[in-house]
Amino acid sequence: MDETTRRKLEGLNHLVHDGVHAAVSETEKVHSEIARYPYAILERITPIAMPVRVIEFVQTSITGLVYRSVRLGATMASTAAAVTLAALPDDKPEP
Amino acid sequence: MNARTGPPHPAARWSERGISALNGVVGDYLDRNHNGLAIPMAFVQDLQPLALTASALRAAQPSPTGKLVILVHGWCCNEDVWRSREDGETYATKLQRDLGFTPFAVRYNSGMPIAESGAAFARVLTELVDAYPRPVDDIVLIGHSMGGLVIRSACQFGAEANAGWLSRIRHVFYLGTPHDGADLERFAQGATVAMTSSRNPITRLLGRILDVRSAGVRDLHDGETRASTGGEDAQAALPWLATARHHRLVGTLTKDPSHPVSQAFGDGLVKVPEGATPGETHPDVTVFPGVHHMQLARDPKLYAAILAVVGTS
Repeated sequence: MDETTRRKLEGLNHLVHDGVHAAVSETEKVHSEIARYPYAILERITPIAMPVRVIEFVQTSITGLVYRSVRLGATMASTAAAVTLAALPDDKPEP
Repeated sequence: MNARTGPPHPAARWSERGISALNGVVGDYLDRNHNGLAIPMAFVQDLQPLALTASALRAAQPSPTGKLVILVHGWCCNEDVWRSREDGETYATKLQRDLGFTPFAVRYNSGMPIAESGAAFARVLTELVDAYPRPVDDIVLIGHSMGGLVIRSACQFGAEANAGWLSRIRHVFYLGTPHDGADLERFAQGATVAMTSSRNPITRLLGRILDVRSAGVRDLHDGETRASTGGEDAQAALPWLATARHHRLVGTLTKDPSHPVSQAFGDGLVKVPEGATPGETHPDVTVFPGVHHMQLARDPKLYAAILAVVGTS
């Protein structure tokens, strides 16, 4: 593989990695904002406020774990792609 | 055509177009992160950067003349925008055939601030003239859209550096260049502010997505004032190079330039400048009815106008 193509593929790999991270983080932010609405309403009902908070904590913990897993998966895929690119042989110079 | 490798494969053209479009959208991010997809400012031939050495230039242009014509593309484009879909010719290769000019084209990261692209263009132009295998007598610059602002910015940097090539510039053609700013960018900025201020999280998300715009396209908001070099005169309009003749060629969406659509949208992206009565020719503005923004880069009528000006002076 020639140097220019290698640089471009490495750049694409970084771009996809950063793009997936940014998209997942933005989605997580919107998701948590929307999910907060019903909890905010239910928390105003004093007798069920405590269990609502517990349920919200469990829900946000699970969804947070899912989003972190997606980001971790993207990082692992990106690292694997970077290692593969690094292992590809360079073009031999023309005689 | 490249003597060693032949003409570029169509897939390579599409790949380079895609990378240029990507640079237009997030080019400043790519540059900041030293991403391999960021395009450095360079003269190009057959999709490859041209080394600015006498031997490389002689190999690229076996019969160099003292007259250079240089094409500077616009936002999200590359040098391919100049190629006629019919015969593959560009305004530069046609001027080579008709008037003996030596053609060059640059490719750059159109997501960078226009002033930075202008500085980089001034730098490679200096290197080209220094390495050129014979003395340069005349230079004609043709800029499409943002490319015209890059040219004006480069001339300002050239003037500050007292560059030798500045006095050789005879004509500068600005094809659909938003000297006064682009309405589309103004709309995008307004929409971003409105959407990110919304109480609805989905609307705010869409606003943040719309806000992922490069510094280059943000500079189109104010046109020439954002293409300046900064400092105390950051908001001052760029001066027009006094020693060159300037020609603004603009298009309209409809064949009738007085049609409300053309009045409102100009060539689709850039409006006809104020003071130019549609359908009439002014000393520095010529309107081409029915020629949309992208077609301005490769239209036979525009070439005829360019040839008439360059050929008679």
